[in-house]
Amino acid sequence: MNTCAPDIVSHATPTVLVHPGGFDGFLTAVCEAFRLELPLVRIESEGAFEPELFEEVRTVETDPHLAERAADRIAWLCGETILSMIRAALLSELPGIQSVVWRVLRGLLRDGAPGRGRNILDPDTHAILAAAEKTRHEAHRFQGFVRFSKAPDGSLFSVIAPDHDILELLAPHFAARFPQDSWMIADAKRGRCLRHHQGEVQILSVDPASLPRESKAVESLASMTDRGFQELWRTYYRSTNIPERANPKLLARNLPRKYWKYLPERGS
Amino acid sequence: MQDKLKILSAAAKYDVSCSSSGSTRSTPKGGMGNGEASGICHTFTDDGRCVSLLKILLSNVCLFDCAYCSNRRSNDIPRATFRPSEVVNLTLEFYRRNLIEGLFLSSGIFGSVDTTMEALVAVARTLRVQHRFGGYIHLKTIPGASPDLVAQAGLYADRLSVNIEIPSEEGLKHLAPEKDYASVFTPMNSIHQGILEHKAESRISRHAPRFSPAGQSTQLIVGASPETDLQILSLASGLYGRQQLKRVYYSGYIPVNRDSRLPLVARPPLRRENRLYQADWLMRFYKFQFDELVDDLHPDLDPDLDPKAAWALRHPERFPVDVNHADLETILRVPGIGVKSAKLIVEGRRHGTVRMEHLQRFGVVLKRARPFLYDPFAVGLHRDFRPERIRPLLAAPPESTQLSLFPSPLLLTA
Repeated sequence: MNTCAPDIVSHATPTVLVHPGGFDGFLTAVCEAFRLELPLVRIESEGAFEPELFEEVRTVETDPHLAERAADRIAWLCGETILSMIRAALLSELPGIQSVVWRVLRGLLRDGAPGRGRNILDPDTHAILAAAEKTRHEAHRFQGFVRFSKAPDGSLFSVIAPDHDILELLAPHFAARFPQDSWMIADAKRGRCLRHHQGEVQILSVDPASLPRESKAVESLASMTDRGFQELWRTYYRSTNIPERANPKLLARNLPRKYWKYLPERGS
Repeated sequence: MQDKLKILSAAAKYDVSCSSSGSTRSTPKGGMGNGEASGICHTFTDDGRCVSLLKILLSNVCLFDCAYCSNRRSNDIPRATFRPSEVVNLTLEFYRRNLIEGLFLSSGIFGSVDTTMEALVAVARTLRVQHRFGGYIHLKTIPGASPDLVAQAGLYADRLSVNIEIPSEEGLKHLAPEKDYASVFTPMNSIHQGILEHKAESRISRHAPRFSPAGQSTQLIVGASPETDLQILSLASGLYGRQQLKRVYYSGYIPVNRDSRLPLVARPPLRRENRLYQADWLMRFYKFQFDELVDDLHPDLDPDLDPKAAWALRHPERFPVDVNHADLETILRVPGIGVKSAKLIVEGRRHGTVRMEHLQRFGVVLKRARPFLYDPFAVGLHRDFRPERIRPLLAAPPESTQLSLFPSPLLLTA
């Protein structure tokens, strides 16, 4: 009489949902996982996943309309703050973070009433908070570490190589600060760039191989007067240091070596 | 230009204030630059300090002869003076490349006190009015400057500061014959007055001009004169209370001059400076009073213990603390628990019991906190609260590896 056995097996098969990337892609995958009522699910982006043994792979196409509805639903259930925390956590691109977010969302969407708030005693929820803070911390650092060079045509350009996908978090800051200028911030790790022109901000893809690999190479694209100012900056940097207070440990904590290569004052 | 910049930035570097926080100025129409409330560090020097502003002197020519200052009249050093347009241009070009948050402008006293102050104000005015610059401007107020000029400075600057430098008036008069406390406190009080008046106005009209929106700060040199930590912290506490200063900076004395009035020191007193910053932090963010940290019996902070741990060990009657029931202020007083983790604890316990594993995840340093916490699973242990046993767990290693336990708060922009 054990007729439902095959069904149980098929439900318990571990599944990985693979989507094209981005927040909309992720939310579409969440809806799909929910619709299929699959208990064991991982969610991963197309570029960055490896299938595990005995795992069923399903691909999901981004459905912007569905994603928007899902986002509205999450915002209604737990507020804009938590929605933006989830967004920032996904931008961390930490391994497995998408599946963690899915586990938390599954609970919320299934039996959540609005206004429940986050329960940070739950390890998954805390992991999301921690990932979001990592991303936001790095974005805050890069509000300072982005270095613009002036091209001969007067536009400003910068190359960065952050650990997390922070371009969209940087956009409002730089758009507010330099509203008159044309500028561009390229992410050398992800081959994407943030472009500001006449008040419009866009995220475009670029060929990572075409981007300079360190600050000297960035400088070689700049105008002559620009190189003069970079030199003045290095002078300032050297002379504002107090040698009697040298503290390499503190420097390494505040300005990790991984960020040096695009900083003209530290070089690679 | 290279040489000028080299001289006038090296001459300004002993002023440790470098924060760019507290301003929410929005970008002027047709202009560039805004204030970021949390402050932004653009790079860090080899000493690990945050570089946020272009910190320079307009001139290092000085009529005064303060014993502790490298720019004093009697020193034979290369002198230079910027043209105002050079400072303006450098600020704008650096800002556009995102190298800085703005300008920190100070100066040696050339001509008279008021001519100097007027020149500083003129640079700020040009940046704000002519170039519609919205970035951060920190202006140094020259001790003894006229109230009228200070009032003008407040309209263009985000932050004003007057340096007290020496934490007692006798000390200051001894080391800086041209200065006294009146010349420092008069401008400081008039800035405070200006901030209060403009705040009152802005409650009536949102078009009221803003006056030094990021408040004012000052600097105390530590170790150049014989004051105790008790004297220094009670002065600082008064400044936070009466003049409502945003920050008091402590600068470990570095001998830049040979002078019989000054002590001979081999190295700057960095650990003492660090302890003072920790105490300052406790006063501003943990609701400690200065006389809880130092008193007549303990006039100096313990160099081997951070001031919070020292306070906790002197007060065994306040521990252990039960994080599941204590109020936020009590939790904040536990060594190893910071503002962020304390808030997470209070948020988390609404959903269940906060256990040791949660504390660890919230960033509590359990090694330090555990002796002070009530742990239902460790019955009997916490009854045996003996400060002399706990102390070795918390003490820092001897001076040679200084500053390893905590980052100096000087580096955090706040």
